[in-house]
Amino acid sequence: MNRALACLLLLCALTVPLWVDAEESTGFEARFVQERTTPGLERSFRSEGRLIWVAGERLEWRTEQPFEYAYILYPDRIVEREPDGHEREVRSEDAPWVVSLNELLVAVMSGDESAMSDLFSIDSREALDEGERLVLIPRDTMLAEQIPEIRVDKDERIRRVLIEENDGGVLDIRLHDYEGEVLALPEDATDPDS
Amino acid sequence: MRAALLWSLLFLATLTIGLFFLLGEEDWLDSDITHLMPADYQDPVVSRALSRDYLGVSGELMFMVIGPEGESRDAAHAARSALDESGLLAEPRRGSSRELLTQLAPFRFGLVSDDRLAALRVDPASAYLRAVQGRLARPSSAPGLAFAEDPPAYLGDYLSRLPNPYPGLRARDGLWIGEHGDDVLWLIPRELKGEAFDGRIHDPVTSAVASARNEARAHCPDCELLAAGPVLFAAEQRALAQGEIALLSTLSLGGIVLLMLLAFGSLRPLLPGAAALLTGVLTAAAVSLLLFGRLHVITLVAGTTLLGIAIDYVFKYLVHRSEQAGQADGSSVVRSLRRPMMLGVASSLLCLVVLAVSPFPVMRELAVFSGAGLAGAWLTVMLLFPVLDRRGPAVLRPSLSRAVNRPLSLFFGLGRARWLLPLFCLPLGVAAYFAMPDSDDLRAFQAELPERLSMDLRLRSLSGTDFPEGFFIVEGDSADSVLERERALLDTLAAADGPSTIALSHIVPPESRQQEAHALMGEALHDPNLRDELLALGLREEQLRALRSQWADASERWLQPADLAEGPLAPLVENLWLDHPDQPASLVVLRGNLPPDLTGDWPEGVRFIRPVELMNANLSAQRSAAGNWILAAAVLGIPALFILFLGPGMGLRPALAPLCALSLTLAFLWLSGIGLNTFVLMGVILGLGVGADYAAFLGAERRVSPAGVTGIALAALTTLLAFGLLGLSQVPALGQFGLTVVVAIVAAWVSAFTLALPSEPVTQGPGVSA
Repeated sequence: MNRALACLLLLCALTVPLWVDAEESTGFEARFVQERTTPGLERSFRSEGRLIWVAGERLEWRTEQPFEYAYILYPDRIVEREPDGHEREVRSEDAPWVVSLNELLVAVMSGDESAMSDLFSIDSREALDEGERLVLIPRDTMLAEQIPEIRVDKDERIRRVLIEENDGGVLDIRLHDYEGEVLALPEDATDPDS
Repeated sequence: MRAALLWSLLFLATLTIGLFFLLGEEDWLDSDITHLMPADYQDPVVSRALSRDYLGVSGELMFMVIGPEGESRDAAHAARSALDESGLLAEPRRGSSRELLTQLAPFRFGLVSDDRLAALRVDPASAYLRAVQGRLARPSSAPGLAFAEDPPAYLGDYLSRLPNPYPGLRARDGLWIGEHGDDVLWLIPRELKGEAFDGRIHDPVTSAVASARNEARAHCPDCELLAAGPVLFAAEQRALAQGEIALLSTLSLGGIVLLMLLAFGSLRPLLPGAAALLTGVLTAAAVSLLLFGRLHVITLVAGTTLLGIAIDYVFKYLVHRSEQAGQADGSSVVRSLRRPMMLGVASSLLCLVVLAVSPFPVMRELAVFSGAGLAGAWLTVMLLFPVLDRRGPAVLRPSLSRAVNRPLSLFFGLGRARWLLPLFCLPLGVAAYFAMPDSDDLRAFQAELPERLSMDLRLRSLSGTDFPEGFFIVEGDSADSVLERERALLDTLAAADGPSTIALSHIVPPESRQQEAHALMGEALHDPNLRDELLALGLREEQLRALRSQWADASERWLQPADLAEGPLAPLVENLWLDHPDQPASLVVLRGNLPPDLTGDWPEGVRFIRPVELMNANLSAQRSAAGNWILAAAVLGIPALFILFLGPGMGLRPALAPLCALSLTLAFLWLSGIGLNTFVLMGVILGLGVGADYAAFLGAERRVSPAGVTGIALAALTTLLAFGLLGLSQVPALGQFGLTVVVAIVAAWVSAFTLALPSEPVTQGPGVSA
């Protein structure tokens, strides 16, 4: 019975689209600290800024330090605002392979577990002092070639995202000072055992 | 006895060859319509273009599960498992991105996306730095090479612009996903391990699709599974053709049996009739298989009508044997029929021989099949019938003979007026032949499969692979000039808001563009301010030096199509690049229709090709040239044979009969609005041969016998029955072929009785009471 209920919940969760209807949008704002370790760079690159998520509309990644830079994901395009103010738009139809990568990003940063379970297989779930850690593996084999694993620490919010890259690089993102609504979903909706 | 032994040898030889192919491992039944076409095109570049599978889909199968999101996903996975378990299908090779990056790394300083190149043109160092900063600040991993090799990730950015094979769909878990109203669609692309037209894989593939459909339904009753691919068309076409062969042969044989019962009131003639037909079909198949190694289904369907002509000789023997009952035995009858039968067979074979030397495989195969079949049936009559016929003849019904001979008085009453027929018909025939419009259409060679076609179109539309008909061919003096002209074409299309394209220059930019990107990047890499910024970000001095050194090394060689002839992009390059040392060319495939106002005015070296139109025009041109020669040979050859066999006095007037029949047939078709095409021409030529056969039988006799007239009537009826049945075929071309022969038989009968009847009146044979 529990198994059947869990399956039902999973199916319900899967029916939640990634980019939900704008009229029902929820969203939040948080501050981030990103530390990128890249083979070839003597030291890690640290940046800080704000993350803004408006469900159904956009995800904004606004870097404030050490330079101003914005990376804004819309359902059909990406807009990059470079440090000198120069704007660059990449439409998903012109760069189809970017779309898949950005889908992963939106799913993880927004904390949308149904979207996550759509795009990742959840390799493991580990309890932390506060919250839990999910180890996610991209379902798409080509993406998995590039990003073998993503670790997500979360309680009711996403707190930390650790992306391991196949060239040995690591992207460590910490989120804090959340403001706004939580995109609430059943806790066990993506339980790999269910 | 010697004759019977000879026949036995013929029968055993053909049977052995037939069994060898039937039981062998090779697939001898061919259903690929392209094998019916002339192999050569006048334009070698077009010829090479059409020989390419320019969309890369001929071996591709696509399956799509559509339904509610959660259930459809399970259904799609279950369907995929069922398909893969068949062992006949494999996931298309997408190639490793790592392998592609390694392959392109030496050329990376010349490969920059359009917007990045535009930014580099304004301020190389600043654009370079912005790209590096973006790479580091972005919350995602940068696609492409390691930071030290390509700090701004230009190559990854460039490759991320490679065209999506299924626009609108996203890769997900080894499948492709998209939205369709409230439902979700899952695309499962697969490659066939084998040839789409190999009949041995048709049943297993059909079973695998049925199994996938069942699995999908078991997981999601509300889901539907669509399937598309050439192999599914080929399997359905072949099953249809095999069904038609069985139906037409059964109906044709049934008609022949009924006609025998009607004519002789006995089943006794069935044994010699069956022997002649069986030997005819076996000889036809054996000779065709020996010459071609295979038989096309179109040949086989059309060839089943051979039964209707092969039985002619049987009826002619039987009615003459009945007429001479008590006066002559079977051997004497055969001897008396030798001359007219030889003339008839020689005329038919002449027509078939001229068909056999045409450039059309379909004509060659049908001519060889029919010619060998007729020869087999004729030899059976000449060699075996006297042996089988020792118990005495079957007697022809007098009432039938009287009825068939009744119109003769009308023809005898024509007198000199009979000459009006050639005077009127021959010029009309010539006019009709040259005035008839061309109606060659490759699509008429196949049965229409509306349901399969509708599913195919729907799936292709949903998966973004509904490429419009037609593509561009771009030619130039060198690979670089071809790519330059491609770029000019893409600019023209972009300026007119035209459709997106699949083009090689998206992947391999022209040399001038690579050189420009390389120069701008060099300017950036040697800029002192950029150096300081990069070092401040953490790049080591020695890494920057290595980068500059690699940039310098890359200034001698630019990416060429040949560099991608192996590796992940090889299939795409193979399909788009028409490599030739003297005449390089490429294909540009459209992903949507051209705007109506954008036609004709293309950049230099660019042509828009519509393959079906082109193939039909080519078919018409070659058919027209071949038709002239075939008709000329037949028109001159048949009178020559008549004069050779019957002498100038007796032969000339009957020789006009088949020519009049030919003219009447062409005139009828012309006035009915039917155009001239390959199958109509084949029907005309076959009708000409049959008409010559009738004229030969009437013209070879000094006095008309009721048996001879009845024999021709029965022969005409069986031929009409056989070819009339072709009208039931779902292949439009075969229907036209059948109609043409039916018209030609009626015209041949009228012409033969008008022109080939001896001047002396009818005499009564002992076996027949008129």
